[in-house]
Amino acid sequence: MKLLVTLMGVAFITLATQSQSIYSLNYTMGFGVGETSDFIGSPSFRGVTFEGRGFLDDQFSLGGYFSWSTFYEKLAGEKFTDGTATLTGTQYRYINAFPMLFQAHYYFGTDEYEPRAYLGAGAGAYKMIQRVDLGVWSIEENHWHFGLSPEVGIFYPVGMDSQLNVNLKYHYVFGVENSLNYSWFGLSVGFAWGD
Amino acid sequence: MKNLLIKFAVVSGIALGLFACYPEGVETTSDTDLVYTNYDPDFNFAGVQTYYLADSIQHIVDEGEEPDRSLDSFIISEIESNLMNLGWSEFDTTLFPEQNPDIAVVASLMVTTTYNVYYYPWYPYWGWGWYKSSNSMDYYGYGWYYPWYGTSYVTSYSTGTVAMLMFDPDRADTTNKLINLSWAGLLNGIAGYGISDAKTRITRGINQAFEQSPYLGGN
Repeated sequence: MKLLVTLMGVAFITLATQSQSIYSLNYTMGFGVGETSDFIGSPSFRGVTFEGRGFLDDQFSLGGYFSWSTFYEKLAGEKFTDGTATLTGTQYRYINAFPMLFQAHYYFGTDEYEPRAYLGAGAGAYKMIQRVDLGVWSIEENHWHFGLSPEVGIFYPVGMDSQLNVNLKYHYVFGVENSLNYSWFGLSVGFAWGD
Repeated sequence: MKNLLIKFAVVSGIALGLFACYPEGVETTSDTDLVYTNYDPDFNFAGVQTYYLADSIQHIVDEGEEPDRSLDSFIISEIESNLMNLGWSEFDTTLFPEQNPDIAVVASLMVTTTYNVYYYPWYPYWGWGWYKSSNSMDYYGYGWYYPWYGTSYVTSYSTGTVAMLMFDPDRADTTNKLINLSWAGLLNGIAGYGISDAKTRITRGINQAFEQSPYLGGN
């Protein structure tokens, strides 16, 4: 997994030095689905994403993606039963997700001064830290995962070299050992800049 | 320059906003309260009519330490009211000295203190002013050596555990000196401040233990 992260880092730096490149910094919300929403039902409003894209031509780019989203839910006074045992207490559940992806995008349109919708796909490493605090105890699952991430979005020009960026990204993270198969939709809004 | 400042402001704003709203966890000591119950599914709780409740609490303390008995009578009275709510009657040992109650109840209390020691190594940092960026590059990459001891501080917290145990005296294994538990209820949480807070949490915990054990009433 370290090799994968290193390769993505090298790819990211290489692409960032391409003649045409765009960087974006976004506020990211997360909406868990599947096992993720079973574990934490509340959406995440704590997230940030940084992207770099190097253009191969007017309609294709390759790049790197890094994000941090925190999912959190407090389950106050919940009762859990297992066989004859019952436990009541307040649980604090957290998921910190750190996707580090290599990604490719296709743009509908070639004029960077007009709104451009795009489709994208990413693959790479996900650092997932899942924790439950209960009483004075804490149970943590901390693993590297492999995951995939299709995406749809739009760049909307707001200046000579600045664009509003809005995108919706689906993350699917394959489970390892005893962890969940994490999946969520990430809705990002932010600014992109570059030449 | 203006664009750079805007970008810097956007980056700083997002970063600060993210850290500022990082979710908190436990806020009060009562947030750590846990109530655990378990029972023997082969025991017929519906057949219980009489109980015996020990009138003292067993304190589990370090050797030589004096137990704090300020909450003993309160804990016993709270357990007793829940036993009576089940419709069970107190067994009078003077009237029936040769008989056993249907169930016996004992309680114990244990307080455990956990200590955490944190250690701060002191070292100078750039902000102290003696660093001159152009002249001190010869020292680039050097580590810090500090011949004095760092600063340490200690935090501690105490957790209290109240255990309520029920058993049928007739089922005690006298040969191996083992008692088969019919029911156990445990309350655990970080000790707070003040007797009033402790009583509130103990009452809530004991009531919860009985509430989450409807089978005690034969249900």
